[in-house]
Formats: sequence, structure tokens, C-alpha cells
Amino acid sequence: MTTFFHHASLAIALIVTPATAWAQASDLPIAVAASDTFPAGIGTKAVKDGAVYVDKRGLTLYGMDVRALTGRTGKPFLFCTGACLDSWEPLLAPAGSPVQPTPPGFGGNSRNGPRVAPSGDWTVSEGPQGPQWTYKRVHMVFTRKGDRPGSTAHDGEDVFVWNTLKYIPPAPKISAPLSVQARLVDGAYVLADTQGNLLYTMQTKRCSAACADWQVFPAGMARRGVGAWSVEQGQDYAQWLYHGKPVFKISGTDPAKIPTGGVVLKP
Amino acid sequence: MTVFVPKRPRLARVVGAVAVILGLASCAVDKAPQTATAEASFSLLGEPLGEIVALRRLTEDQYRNSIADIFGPDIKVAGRFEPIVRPAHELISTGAAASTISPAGLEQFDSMGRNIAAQVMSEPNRLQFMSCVPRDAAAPDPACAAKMLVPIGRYLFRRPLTEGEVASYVKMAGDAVANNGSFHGGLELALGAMLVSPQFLYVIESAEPDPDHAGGLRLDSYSRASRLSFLLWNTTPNEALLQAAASKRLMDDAGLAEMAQRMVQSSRLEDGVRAFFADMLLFEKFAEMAKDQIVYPRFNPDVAAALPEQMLRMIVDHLVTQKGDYRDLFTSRRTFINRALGPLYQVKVSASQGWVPYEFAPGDERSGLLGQAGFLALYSHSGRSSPTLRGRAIRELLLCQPVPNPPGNVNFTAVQDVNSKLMPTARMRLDAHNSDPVCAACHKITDPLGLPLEKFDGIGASRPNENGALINTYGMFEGADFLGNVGLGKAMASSPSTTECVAGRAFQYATGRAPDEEGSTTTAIEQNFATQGYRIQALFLRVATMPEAYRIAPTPPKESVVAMAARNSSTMGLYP
Amino acid sequence: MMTRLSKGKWGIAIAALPFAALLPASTSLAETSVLAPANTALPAPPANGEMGFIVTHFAPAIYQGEQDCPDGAAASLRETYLQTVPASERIRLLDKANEQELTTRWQGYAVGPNGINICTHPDQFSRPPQRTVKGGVAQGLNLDGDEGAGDGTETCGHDNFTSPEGAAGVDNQMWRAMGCMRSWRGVDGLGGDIVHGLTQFMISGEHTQVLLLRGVDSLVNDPEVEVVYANSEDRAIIDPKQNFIPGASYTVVDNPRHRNVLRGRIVNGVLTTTRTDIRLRQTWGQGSERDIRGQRTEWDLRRGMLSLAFQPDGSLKGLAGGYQPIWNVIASASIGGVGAATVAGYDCAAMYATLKQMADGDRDPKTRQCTTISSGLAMTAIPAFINDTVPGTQVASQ
Repeated sequence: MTTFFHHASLAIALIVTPATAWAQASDLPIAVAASDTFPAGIGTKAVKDGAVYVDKRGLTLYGMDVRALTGRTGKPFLFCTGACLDSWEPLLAPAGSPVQPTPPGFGGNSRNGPRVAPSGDWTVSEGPQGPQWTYKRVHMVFTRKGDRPGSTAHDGEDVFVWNTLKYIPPAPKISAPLSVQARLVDGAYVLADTQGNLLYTMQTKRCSAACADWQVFPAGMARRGVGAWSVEQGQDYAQWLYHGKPVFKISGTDPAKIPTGGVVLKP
Repeated sequence: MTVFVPKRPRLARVVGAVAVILGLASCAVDKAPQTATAEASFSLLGEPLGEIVALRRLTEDQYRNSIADIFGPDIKVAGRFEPIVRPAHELISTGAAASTISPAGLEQFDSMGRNIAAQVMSEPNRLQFMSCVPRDAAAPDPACAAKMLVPIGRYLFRRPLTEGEVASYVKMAGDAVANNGSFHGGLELALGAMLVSPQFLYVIESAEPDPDHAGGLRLDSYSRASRLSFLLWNTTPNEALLQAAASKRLMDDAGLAEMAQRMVQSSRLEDGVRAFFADMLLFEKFAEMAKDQIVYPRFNPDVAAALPEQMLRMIVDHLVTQKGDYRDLFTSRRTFINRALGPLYQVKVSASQGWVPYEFAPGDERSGLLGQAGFLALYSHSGRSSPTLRGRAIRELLLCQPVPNPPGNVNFTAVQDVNSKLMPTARMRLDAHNSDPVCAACHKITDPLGLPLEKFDGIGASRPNENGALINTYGMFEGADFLGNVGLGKAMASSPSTTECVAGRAFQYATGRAPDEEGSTTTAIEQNFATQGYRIQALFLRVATMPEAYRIAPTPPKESVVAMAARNSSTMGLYP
Repeated sequence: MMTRLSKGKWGIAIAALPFAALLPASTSLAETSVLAPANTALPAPPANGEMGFIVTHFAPAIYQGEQDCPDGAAASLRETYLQTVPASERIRLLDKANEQELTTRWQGYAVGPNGINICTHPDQFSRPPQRTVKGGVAQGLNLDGDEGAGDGTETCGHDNFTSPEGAAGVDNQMWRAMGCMRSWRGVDGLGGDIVHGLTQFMISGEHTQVLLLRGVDSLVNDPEVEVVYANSEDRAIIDPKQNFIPGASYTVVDNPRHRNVLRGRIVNGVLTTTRTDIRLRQTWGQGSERDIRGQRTEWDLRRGMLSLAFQPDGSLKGLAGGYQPIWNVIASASIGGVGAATVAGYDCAAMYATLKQMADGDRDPKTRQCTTISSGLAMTAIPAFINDTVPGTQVASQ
């Protein structure tokens, strides 16, 4: 266990109240990146279970989850100093970057100067060795000393205080009925309804007898088409068509549940 | 109680006590507005409508299904539905033919309608419903308004709008622009008004002279489309049905049969079958079912919500998905279960969320419709089982054999003493109670069917004994004796009364008419049902297509005629 | 080394015990603290040898020996503070007229430089330890296999307890350190707030633990039983009186980290597992989602074991034990932060100092200081249906 909290020095920099969507812990849903452009020196790299952010050396970036710390020990949290810095190296921000004061949610004082409006995923906090990058407001960014490119060995360490920063590209913009959304499944965007149920159509041009039992993705008779979507007034339902092919849905997000002969819709 | 009050009401022949309270008098107009010019979008206007012969208020499910089918399932319906009162020993569908809407109920419909209209007309959504852009978003545009309202009105009213209706809704939309300065706000108002119109809230059946029966009437084409759709799918007619109605294909027996045949083969028949059995088995009683939590700590709201759903899933799976024999519904070991019901049944539920199929082991006492906890719990008291209530429900609901109510001065002391050491079981207590011959007369009708279910307690959970005493599950039906729920299920499955009852109920459900009015008709339905292996598809097809169901006898209505706006006016201000 | 259990007969699905018939739907806290050997006829196990349970109680094991705390309960922060001032000043502050001043001063004693406080950062304060349990009897298990002082290369010396039933060698230094605190010890046979709080989290469904036994041939004696001890995402199904309802279904979590596979045996109706590291999630707080909003920790029972007696009513009752990182013992106070000190009056710094002093496991080779502390936890479980997430379960190496 990394005993970062055994060496005093005080809390830092994060701007807004924590939210579930920002989780990077590997046992929780990972939040989508706000943008596909990053600060200089930061990139992404494919690893075993997806992609992670890396530094210019190609080393995996780790986030020290401030919520996990305050959850463990209350507020304020004590950040990585002393022995902790023997193992972890802060990812420093360019000198002179505007620094976000620590929010009261993590034990900061709201009178600590003006708040800098955050934009995107990457902000700068005061760290143990000066201004340091922070990802999605709550993950102070570090690399592991002695690490090699592509390694994610320390993901989830110390009860999810240390998590690799996983990169999920932002959702594409789609022109579709309002009941349709892009949803990330197995690292790629596919189309689903607003409840998250995956949408699919048949692989072939015409629907065989097999698809008589498929669950129609209904449109509403009074609806009109949008983009590549149109409405077919079928014998049973008014059904959405995508690029002219009838759309069906499964219950849930498991692509394996799509019946044989069906193919998931992609944006 | 008949307070349907348009500005210019005209009397029409109406069957049934229709009492609609609607406060939309301002919607009516005296004449078509001059601004509404005739154009292509008006081509859907219908011919003069026929005489109104029946009205049925939409049930909650029918309303919800209609909105989803017309506007899409993402448009939410939020609100409380005033229940439809069930006539004694009859179906709600019969009650719907005489259903009133109270001022409070109307308020709810009004609120729901406005809410739906607001969703449809909201900024991102409306582009998916409108085929035109107004010349000026802050000014009336009757042509564009009509382009949206005419097709939607056709779906909502299940027939083309009349010219008068179009004119009045277009005017309403235009007038509203003056108040709120928004073309789209005006459309929203008009759409909201359509959604609270009796033309939407009631399925209005109208008739035309029957060329084959002089002096008689027959349901007109659009009424037939609605009849088929609500009967078989419990929802509003879709485009295919409306087009069939427009082309008069539903007016000849072959065309009607072709359409109905296709509809009973669709998976959407599930919704129709669900609605029918929920009606036949009095499922509205689940809403008021209460259990004593001291006696039944395992009963909670999640269990209460799951019980009717479990029964419906079992019924629909057996009858529609598996295309099973109706008689086997009483012996089938297949059902569905969710996590809330696991402790009640004491079985492993493999999924944390949702429903999963479950099959009881051969020989398990838990089989058939009567072994479902929902039935057993519904026909029990709050703190104890009731062989009498269960037996009565079987007689009345599943065998169509009404049981008289108990006299007012009965002494129930013996049966209510559930902790009696002298009489530890319900059978013993009922025996004591039935020493009074007045009581015994009815109990001998009900109890031999309820006592076999005594190994299930007041929430339908299994119990090996009652107060430590062994439970005797002997029962008798139509001269044959048997043991327990399994024996009872077999007895039910082999009785002609079981299938005759469901056949009669189906006719009543389809037509709103009691089967005793047409004895020969029900016999014919039952015979056809038997020939077809007691398949529900065959039964529904039969009641959906039999010519008698579409004929209106030339006799005057029994009940009082009430005020209702004329629909057979083709041009004049009609109440929207 | 992974070993596949070969004696299972779980290929055939057969209806399990009729749980409801076995067990009244009630399990009170007062019943939880005694490990009672099964003394009446136990039912036969199900034919497929598989038995599931939902854990209904999991909290520090309480034993209220009369001579445990001869000098009184562990001091509150207010009392501790008063001991730091001269006697004359103490008398002045205790005057009712000076109550406000006293409150301000003892609460100020909870806070250190730069906004830190004794509960969030107890290690940053140098404060004396609190009163500890002096009695010789406590609940717990023999975790080090030694009935002596246990001073070794990996362990630190400690005084063993004897169990209430007379078993020697009980290792429960956690109780030694914390058992004189009012919030732990409770009164009249009932545990204190820590016990009630942990139980409430289980009832509310904030965290759920399940047990799945496989290969059970007899509830009296069976040399080899597989035990899956895991969390579940499913909330408890309870009755209106907050009793767990038997016979509910639960699914084991996907995360293998919180699915512990133990090897056990049954002797005279008591199931005992071999020492293995056990990790379980603990969620603190009443949120509707199990997210990481700062309220998630783990039970980290190193070289942990279970000792559970089958009861005639179908339930399990007994103890869990293992060596916990000392910080974990005060997790709830630590999360509570300054409020735990100034509202509840916890002297977390004294707690931490005591735990450090009493620690008896996982000696740090550099500092020679022990870093974990032997702990005894009371546990009860009632029958449930458990869906495992890993088919063809394997037994992990030790």
C-alpha cells in the first residue's frame, strides 16, 4: 500500500464538486473524453483493454483520485509527497499555467482566490512539485517511476486511489431521431435507443423469415424522417428505417444478444 | 350526468349512457374560418359520418399504447387515469361503454394532453412531426397548421377529420397566436385540445344502413378498423388499418377476415390477450389489494406489483407465444419470476433485474393459473386465505357461474377465528360455519373449488400445514373428486364450462354486448374454439370477424339517450 | 496452485431447503455474538450440496466482560482535553458558566495546523493512547495458530484472549484496543454505534455480503467444502421490521477482487475455513448508487478465516477474523472527519496511537513495527439463493 498520507503537506487544487461521471476507477463506468485534442505532451495509446493517456515518453498516465482519498480519510486530503514521490512522478504543467484553487468539497477554502473557469478535461492544480495537470477535476496526474510504455500494472492500486487514465473518444455527432443516441460498446460507438438498448438491422438486403420475431424499433406513425432515418408504415408497427433498412432493437447492451443475421447500427 | 356541452349541440342517436364532461366549448366554431384554404392536405377529409351506436372510453393501456404508436414510445404519458367502473359480473370493456369522466378525471386527461402536446411541439421534437415551416413563426399560418393537424388528427380520431374539425382546430391554433405570439404554441394548443376531445378519449363506433338487413345497421369502415385494432392489439388503428378502412376493404367479410387473420398472427396479439385477461380476471382489484404485514412480512409493494404481471406473462406466453391450448393453462408448469417474487415462491431467481422464465418441477403443487401467487393472494383476505373467495372467483370469472352474495346477517365468527386450536384448518372452520344450512347452500358451490388451494396461504405462499394441522386438499367439481391444486387444474381443464366461459367472455369483450343476449352466437363461437384446438388466436379471430358482431339490431336502445355532439354534420361547427 | 474440487454433485438442480419453513424472518442483533455449536439435529444438506446465505450481520464481535475496563470507558475528546490542563483550570472549565469556553477549547483540540484534524489525519498528531481492555475473555479466533505471546518475525507480541466458550489463543487485538470505547462496547449485551451502523448499511443495501457453500455432504462433518464469500450488487430484501427475508436471490459481484474462494471443513456442525486473504467492499453512506463519492473502502482481512456454526433453523452464526490494516479499523471515524471528533467526541488520534501500539501482524521488516491488527468480527447469515458469476469455480492457492 502506498502510504502517501503519512507525509504531511496540504491539499491542492480541484475545482468542482465530484461527480460519478468522472470516475476512472476500473470497476466503474469510464467517462468519455470531452475532446479528442489534448494539451501538448499528452497523447493516447492502445493497451490491452482499450486506450489510455500517455506522456511524451509513452508512459501510461495515472490519476490519483482525490475522491478516493477524501473517502478514505475525510477532508482535507494530503497529497502525494515524501515516500509516495519515490514511486510516482507528477505530470507537471507548463510554468505560469493558471492554477485552480482546491474546492471546499476536498477541504479547500472557498476564499482562496478567484476561481479559474475550467474548460475541457485538463486543468492545472497546485501539486507537490508545482503546477500539475489534473484530469476531469479529480484525478491528479502522475506517471509511475520505472514504468515501461504500455504497462498498466498499477491500475486500481490502493483501493482505486491510483487508476490509469482511460481514454474514450467523445461521441460522434449524429443526425437521428431523438430516441436514438450513440453509445460506446466494446470501445466503439454504436447506435442505441435512449434507454441504451442496442439497435440493429439485418445483414442482407431483405429480411428473411427469421426476423419476423425480431423486436421492432418503433417510430410513431406521425413521425417524419431525419438524416438517414425514415419511417416505414409497416403492417404491425411504424418502424424506423436507417439507410432504408428496417431497424430492430435488443433489450440491453450486449451485442451478443443480437440474433444471427443482424448487425449493430453504427453512426 | 350527461353534460357534454358544445355550443351548438345536436342530438344524435346514441347507444349507452354516455356522459362526458368536457369544458372545451370554446373550441367549437360556427363556421369554417375564411383563412383556411382548401389544399392537398385536406384530401383526407371523410364523407359524412354514420350514426353513433356505441362509445367506449379508452382504458389506460389503450391510451398509453395509442400515444406510443402515434407519436413514438419516447413521448411520455404522465398522469393518473380515472378508473372505469366495472358493471357487476361483467367486463370493464362493457363498463367502458357506459363510462363517465368526472371533472377531476377530465382535469387529468387535460393535463396529460397538454403535456403530450408540449413534448411533441418542443423545439427539437417538432421537426420530426412537421412537414412545413410557417411563413412567420410569430403569425398564424393556416395552411401549415393544417398540414400538421390533419394527419395527426386522423391518427388520434382513428378516421379522417371532417372539414369542420379541421377548420375549428386550425382556427384554434391561429387564434392562440394572437395570445402567445407563437405559431408553434398555437399548434400545441390545438393538439392538446385534440387529445382531450371525446373523439380521442372514446372509441366511437358509428354505423351505416346494412344493405343485407333491411332496417338494420352495420358498423362502418373506420369503426371496424378500431374494433379490430383495440380488440386484437389493444391500441389505435395503424396506417395499414386506416388505409383498409378508407378503401372499404373491411366492409366485406373476406377483406375483414384477411386483415384479422394477419393481426392474430402478429406478436402484437400479446397486448390484446393481456388486456382481455386483465379484464376477465378483474386485475383492477390488485390496485387495492392489502395484506397484513404482521401475518405476511414477506409481502411488500414490489411483490404486489409483480403478482399481476407474473400472471399475465404466464398467460401470454402460454396462449400467444407457445400457441398453447387454453385448457392447458390450468395445468402448465411454466411461468415467469423476478427477484421480488423469489422469497414468496422460495425459488432461485437467476437474474437481478427483470423477469426470467421458470418451470416448476413435475409433481410440484404449484402449477397452472390457479397456482400463481397472484390469483391466490387476490382472492384471500388481508390476513388469511379464503377458500370461499377463491372458489367464488373460479366459479364467476373462469366458469362464468355467478354466485349469490351472502345474506346480510351471517355470523362469521367461526371462519374468522384463524388461531382456533379446536378448528386449526379453514376446512374445519367452514364446516362449523356451514352447520347453518343457509350458509351451506352457497358454500357448497364455492368451497369445493377453494379448499383444494389451501396449501397456499393468503399471499399465495406454500404452507405445509395450518396451525400445525395437516391440510386436507380434497375437492370436487362436476361430480369428480380430486386433491389439491394439481387436481383442481386438471378438473378445470377437462370441463366444458371452462372453455365456454372464455369464449363467451371474448365475445362480450369484442362487442361490449353480454353473451346471454345472443345464446346461439356463443355456442357457435365455442364450437369453433373446440375445432381449432382451443387456441386463443382462433377464438380472437372468430370474435373479430363474425358478421353478427358488426350488425346493429334495429331495436331501440334500452338505456336513456343522452346528448352528444352530432358527427353526421359534414360542414358545421362540430365539437372537436 | 489451483485445485478443482472434485466431490461436487452440483450438476443436478434440485429444489433447495424450504427456507421459510426453517427460519422465522427475524435475526436480532442480540443473538449475533455467540458462536454456539450446533447441539440439536441439523437438517440434511440439499442433494446437490449447494447452500447459499445472505450475511445479515457483520461487525466487531462484542463481549462485555465485567473487569474489562476497570478505569472506566475510553475517554472522549472532551475528557482527554481536560486531562491536558492543570487541575485548577480543569475545575474552572467544568463550571457550568464556562461550558461554552470549554466546548470551544476541546473542539479546538481536534484540529491541527493547515486545517488537518485528528480523525482525518490521526497519524499527524502525537497523542497518548486510550484505555484498553484488561479482561482475559473476548470473542475471536486463533489467527496465528499460537496460544502463546506470538512474538515472531512477522508478528508482534500480544496477550491472547480466551473465548467465552473457553478456547485459548484468541487473537483480537482490535478489541483490546477499541473495546473500552462506548461506541464499540455498547451496554447490556448490545454492541455500540459501530455495530448498529454496520448492520444498518447491510439492511439498507449499501453493501451486501453473500456466502455460497459447495460440496456440502453433511452439516455435521464434512472434510472438504468450498466457500465463496463475496459481495453482491443486489440490495437486501427485508420485511417491514427490517429483518432479512430468507430465500431471496442474490448474484455475486462481477469483480473477482471481491469474490473470495475459501476452502473449509465442517466439524461437529461448525464450518471453519483455512486462512486466506479476504477482501470485501464496504460502502459507507446512504447514496442510491454505489459510486466512488468518497465513501468506499475495503475490508482487508489478511490471513482471514470464518468459523460458522450451522443452526437448527437453517442459519449460520459465528465469527470472521483476520489481520486488518490499522487504518481500516477507524475508517468510519476517519471518513467522518472533523465532525467525528467535534460532534461524536471521538479521540481518533488516541485510537490510532492505541491501534499502532496493539498491532500484532505484518511486521514491517524495516521499522520492525507491526502494521495490521488481529480482529474478531461477529457474523450471522440466513439462507438465500446465490447466483455465482464464475462457472466451474476453482479454489485459489493459499
